[in-house]
Amino acid sequence: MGGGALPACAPRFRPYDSGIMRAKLIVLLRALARPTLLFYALPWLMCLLALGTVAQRYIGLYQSQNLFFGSFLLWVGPVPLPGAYSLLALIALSLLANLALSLPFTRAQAGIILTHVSVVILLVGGLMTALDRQEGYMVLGEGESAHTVFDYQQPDFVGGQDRYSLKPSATRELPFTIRLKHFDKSDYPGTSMARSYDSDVVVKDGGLEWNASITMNHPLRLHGYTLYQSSFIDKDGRLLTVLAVVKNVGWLLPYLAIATLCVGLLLHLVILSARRRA
Amino acid sequence: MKWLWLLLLFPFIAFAEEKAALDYNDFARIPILHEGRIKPLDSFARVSLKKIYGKTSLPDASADEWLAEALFAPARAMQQPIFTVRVPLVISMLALPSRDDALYSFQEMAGAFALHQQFMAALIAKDRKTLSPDEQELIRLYENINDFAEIIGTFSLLLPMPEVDDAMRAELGVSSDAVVTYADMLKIRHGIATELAEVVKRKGDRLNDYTPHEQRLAKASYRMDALEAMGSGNTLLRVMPPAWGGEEWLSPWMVLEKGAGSPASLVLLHEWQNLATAYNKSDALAWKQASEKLRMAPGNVRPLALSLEVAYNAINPLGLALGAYGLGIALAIIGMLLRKQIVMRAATGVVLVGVASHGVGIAARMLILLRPPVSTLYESMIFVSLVTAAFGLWIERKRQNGEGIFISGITAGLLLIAANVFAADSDTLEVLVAVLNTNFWLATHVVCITTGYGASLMVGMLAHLYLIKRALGKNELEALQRRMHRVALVALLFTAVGTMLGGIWADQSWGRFWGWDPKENGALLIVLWLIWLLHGRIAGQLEDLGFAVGTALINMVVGLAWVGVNLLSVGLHSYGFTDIAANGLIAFCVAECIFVTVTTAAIKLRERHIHA
Repeated sequence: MGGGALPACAPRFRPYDSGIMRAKLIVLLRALARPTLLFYALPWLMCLLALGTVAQRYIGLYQSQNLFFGSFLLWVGPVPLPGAYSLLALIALSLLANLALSLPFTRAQAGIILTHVSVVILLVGGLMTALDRQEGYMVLGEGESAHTVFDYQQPDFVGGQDRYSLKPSATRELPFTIRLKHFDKSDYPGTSMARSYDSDVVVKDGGLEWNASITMNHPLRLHGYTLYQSSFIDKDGRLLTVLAVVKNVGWLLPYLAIATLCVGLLLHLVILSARRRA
Repeated sequence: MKWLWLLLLFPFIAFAEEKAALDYNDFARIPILHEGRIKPLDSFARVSLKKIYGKTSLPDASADEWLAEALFAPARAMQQPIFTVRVPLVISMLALPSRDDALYSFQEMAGAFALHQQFMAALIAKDRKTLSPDEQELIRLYENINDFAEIIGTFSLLLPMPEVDDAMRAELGVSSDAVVTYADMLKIRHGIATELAEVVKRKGDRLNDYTPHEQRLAKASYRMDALEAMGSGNTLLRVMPPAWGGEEWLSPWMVLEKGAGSPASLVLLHEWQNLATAYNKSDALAWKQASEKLRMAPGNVRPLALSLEVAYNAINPLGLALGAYGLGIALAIIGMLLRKQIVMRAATGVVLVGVASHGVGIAARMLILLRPPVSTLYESMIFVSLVTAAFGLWIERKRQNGEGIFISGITAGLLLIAANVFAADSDTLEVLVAVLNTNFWLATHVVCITTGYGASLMVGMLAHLYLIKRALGKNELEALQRRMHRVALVALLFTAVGTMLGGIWADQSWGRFWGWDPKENGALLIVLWLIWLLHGRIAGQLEDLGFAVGTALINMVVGLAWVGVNLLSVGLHSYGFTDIAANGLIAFCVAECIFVTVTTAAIKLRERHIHA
């Protein structure tokens, strides 16, 4: 995104005499920095996005995610096509090259620069999540406690919207213990439509013990782990709470990215208006 | 098929032939628990009548009048032709007489369905998705009949029992001219049963051998059994507030069955009885008094909200807005054709009134439901409609040539119409599933993303305008292009921030920022499309025409991302799906593609001509 005055790639770098390799690298980086690359990468990414979305109906979220969004190469028969990972990596490199080489760091471009930085933050966050993320769940009845979680792969939404197929693979120790005091599922009066789920828990962390409440949209964050009210199980009339336990070191980055993006785009709009008025 | 009892029981009850001019102001505001929330009886009546009849009023009666008749004069209500059969084949399947208006009474419908009980039972057991349109229509009618049967059976416990004689009245301790109902008779039911058992033991079960009093005993006993069989499971009209705390309102029959009555609920039932009597005697004063007391029933904690809802139903501010947008479009066209500034000013004024009414309508909905403006598909449509109308006014203010009014009027109007089509047959003021029940994220993420949809549609419409003007050989398109670029940036701001806020909501609720859910992907698709357009323009890959074509097609992308993903019916966001959506969306996409192709071809032809 940019004002009309931005030259496509301003030659700010002159190749040094000291090395052809270096000169070649810069040529490569400048090629990477061109918006042309984005112009061809994005339609393919949009195709993958559309295909992966429609495919969910037929092969389920988990399968189509692996196939369309979680791979470097997409094989169509014997032909390898770039997968979403490759495209995102390419876009990230292009963005970095663009920030380093092409974008003039002037006041007029401040909004654009911030906006692009926000995308870099977002992509870095995505990378961190992809590399290091632990997901699991614990099932607790009232009075029960647990300090381990069952790992599972992504919940799968094949067929209907509520049919999870959880695939437990291993259990993992937590550095704290959770005891369920009380689980409450409240419905809208006169219906069987759920209004809210609440788990009142006691957290035992080392020598300390305290009460906490986990509800829909209000997770509990502790030692890098986040506990969410995921769902519940009705076991012969006894309600068991299902808490999702997630460890994701990159969780804060999207929050940062959104703030940067918001400021960047607003700034750009303001700068455009100001320039137009002047 | 409990309603078969109705055919036997009600026709013998006398009713007043004349409809009296009664004041329905208080009646409309009586609270009822329906579909998870306390709403005024007026809303219940409108939704029920719309389901059955197709509209929220009858030619000769309002929804409230219709409901009152169904509740208090069931025998008459059973004969009113109000059931609309939408599929002609179903009429012949049910062996109903063919009629131009395809309207049938409860009596006719119930009689027809009574012959197909086993067939219907088998049909209902099937998976809905596998049913043909005819079968779905059958089920729809069948459910409507059940609902109507529940409505007319609601107060069967308060209807006078014709078999009651002086002996029974004496036993009840009431005067000889008092009206005695099922609810009254419960007190002496045990006595009647014992007395009747003795009679049967002595005389056998031949009614002819009985004395008149014994015959009446038997009939009363039979009627009570029948009423009880019919009334059990009558749960639709939950007008009795919780007597002992909690939120669970009950229907009159539920109160009797569960024994959940209290002195307060007895008073309330008595008041309903007064209302029924007043209705049948056309006693306007008694009617007014009883409905006033019922309106102020103890469980009615938000009487003002109910009044507001009744006013919202009656005034229909969104309908007013739709009319204003239609008028605005017409005036804008006239203004553009005649080049009269004053007519365009008038168009702007009319649309301004429409936007005000639209805004008031949405604000009223927020006050009624105590939640942010957008939570359902219907609400997203009426909100985006408002956003586009407001955007149009903004564009018009800058350019003052009628174009802003024209394109926004069309978009906003079509969206309102689409919203009404999608919301057919249902209460648009509905409660939300647990994960959506969070005011903060609804207020931020959803409002942001829907504003983004609105801005995207507006930039799409500006591109349409550009293509048309260029095809017609108009000059001076730079200002329009600048406006497109600006609105595209605004659209990108709202869609990108909205999408990311959605990720943050997902992080708060489900523990992942991004899950490739269809709705998330759809929103991302709009964002990527906008980024692609803006970068293509800078990189020089997209010329003016290419940029305009890509921008015009964003309407299609928005349609697919917003409504289209619901058709996939997978994922966490797939709320609010209807069959009409698929066809409407396909038609819309085809129309957009044709528009873009035709205008592009026209532009190419014209400009080649000029160059040659």
